[in-house]
Amino acid sequence: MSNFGDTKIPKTKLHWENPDLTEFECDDAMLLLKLAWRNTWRNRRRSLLTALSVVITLVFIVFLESLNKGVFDYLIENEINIYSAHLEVFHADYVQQRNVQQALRNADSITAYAFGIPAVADVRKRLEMLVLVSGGESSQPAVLWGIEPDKEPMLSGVAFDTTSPVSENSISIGRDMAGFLGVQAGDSVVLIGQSYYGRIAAMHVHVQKLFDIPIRDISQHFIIAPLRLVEEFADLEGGATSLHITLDDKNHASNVSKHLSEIYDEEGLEINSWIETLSGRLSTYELRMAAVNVLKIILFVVMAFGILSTIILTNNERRQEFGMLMGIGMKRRFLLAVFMMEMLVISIMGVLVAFAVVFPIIAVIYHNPIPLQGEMVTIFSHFNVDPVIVVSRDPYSFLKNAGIGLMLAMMLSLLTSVMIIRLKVAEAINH
Amino acid sequence: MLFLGTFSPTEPDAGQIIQKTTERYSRNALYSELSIEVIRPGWVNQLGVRAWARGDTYALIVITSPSRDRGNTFLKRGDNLWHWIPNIDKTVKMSAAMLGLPWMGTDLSINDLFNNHFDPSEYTLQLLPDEVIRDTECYVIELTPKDDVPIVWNHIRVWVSRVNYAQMQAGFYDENGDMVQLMETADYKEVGELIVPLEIHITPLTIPGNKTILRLTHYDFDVQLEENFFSLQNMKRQW
Repeated sequence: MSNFGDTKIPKTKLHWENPDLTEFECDDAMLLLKLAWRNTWRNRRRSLLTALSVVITLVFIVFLESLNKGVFDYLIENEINIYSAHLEVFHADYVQQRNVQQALRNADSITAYAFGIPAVADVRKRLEMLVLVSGGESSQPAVLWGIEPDKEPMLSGVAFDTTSPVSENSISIGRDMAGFLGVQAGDSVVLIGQSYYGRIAAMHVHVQKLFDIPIRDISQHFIIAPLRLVEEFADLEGGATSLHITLDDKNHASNVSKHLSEIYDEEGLEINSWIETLSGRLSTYELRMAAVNVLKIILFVVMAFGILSTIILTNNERRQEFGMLMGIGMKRRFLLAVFMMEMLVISIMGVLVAFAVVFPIIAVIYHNPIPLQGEMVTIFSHFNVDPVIVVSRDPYSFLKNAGIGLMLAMMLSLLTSVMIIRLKVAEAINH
Repeated sequence: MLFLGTFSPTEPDAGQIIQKTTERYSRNALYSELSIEVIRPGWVNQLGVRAWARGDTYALIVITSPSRDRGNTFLKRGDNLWHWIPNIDKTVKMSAAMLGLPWMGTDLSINDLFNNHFDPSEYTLQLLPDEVIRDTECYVIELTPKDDVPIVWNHIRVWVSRVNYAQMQAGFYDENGDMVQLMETADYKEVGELIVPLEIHITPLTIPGNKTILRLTHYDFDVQLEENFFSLQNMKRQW
């Protein structure tokens, strides 16, 4: 038998005694909540089990999403820092032909202008050209890659021995190229190419360091040099083949891009945002997120079954109670509202507990990234990147999943509503 | 008789015209100083050159300015081309194809620098109706390369002054019949038997805004140059 009677209900406020009222007043809503709250704790174990299925599901899903997003954001952020930046600016012809003669001659003025745009954090110039490198007995074609060492600490950390200042005559070549040419760090090599004006460019340079980037193409064909050296080699002071703009917030990329292309309309600039540059990576990310979503659906289904079993149990156990309540005059509608409220209270409790569990975990990992083990450590360190797993601290992910969980719980409780609506009082009392 | 007079039998045919203009151009040996102006949409650049040539076969070209290119030397012996690069102290043997390709960022090839005349034996000639170029009445001759001659153009049209047999201009056409490059000459100087244009403009019509202007600032047609002047050792001399 139910102990519903122990709730003290002021006589005048009883809703079911006043059939003229179609909407609950504020007091009625409080009453409803009070009833639901008490009912929740009448059968603690059942309520806790229901809440637990919500907790476990949410904790898993949120953790999974935040881990995936975190690792991916970290990789993207590193790639943006090391290679592409948020916006890349080229001369449109350069994109087609990749020839230094299509470099941006007025790179300095574009840089100065870009710095005036509020969202722009930094502008890095790069000057890239094809050369013939010759050392010892061999020669080979190579990409001469001029960077601003002080603005690209990660890359210049890989390329140069930064304990001493990088001299303007120093380059860094990959171990594979050094092997082919038969040169060591400290040796001299000859670069031959074509200047911006289409004339011969030739220079003796000093190999300061052999870099260790474990990508064969780069190790075999790339020469990293200070921008000044490449400017002199190409006879193009203040020029660049590309500008790399980093932003305070990467979501401003399209605005800044639009702004720049309007101002430099006649120069024929081509501006690529990180979304275009990293489109390959981003589709990998979407594929992985799709896999996470499948897992998410499975977890939600498990949760749904947890809640469903509670509801079926409730239906059986409380049929008599419901019948009795209706027998003494409780409105079906009010009963329904109490029951829905009970489910809501339980689900919200689950969400709150999940929140309390998952956020400290994420916060701890966020501030203390998990170190990677094994071979990954060497690969990461070649790129001057910390070999760690990081998590994302995006509250939106939690809210979204909590919302889905609550909706699911509410939809399932509608099943019980059907039962309440169909309940025959006499039958239920004698159940 | 009057009627016959206008179609005078002394009127030369295409072959004779080309022969005559070639005679007026070709010389045995030549020393020249050139100023080459390269015009591009975004910039204009000067190149100073000293050149020695003997016939079509031998040439020695030294870059004198700007300072970063000074001392770069090119040696042509027949179909062979060498390039001496002073700042890395190296002589590079270049492919024969380079002789016909744009050189030092200009619109000229090394061959263009020295052979601005046409060998009549390599072409089929056709005389077209006269045209007036810069107030000068000109013969117009169309030269179509013979099948076995390695010339990239579909045909060439040359405008030769009726007055002094100077080549006023030459148009180079592709297989669609479009003119892709225009060479104009100006500022003629008579040196003995020769007519020398002191200024040559080369305009590649496929790339808007590009042009190369070549000015002869100093010349000597009486210079005596032996074959052994055009040697690898001589390339490295500090000219």
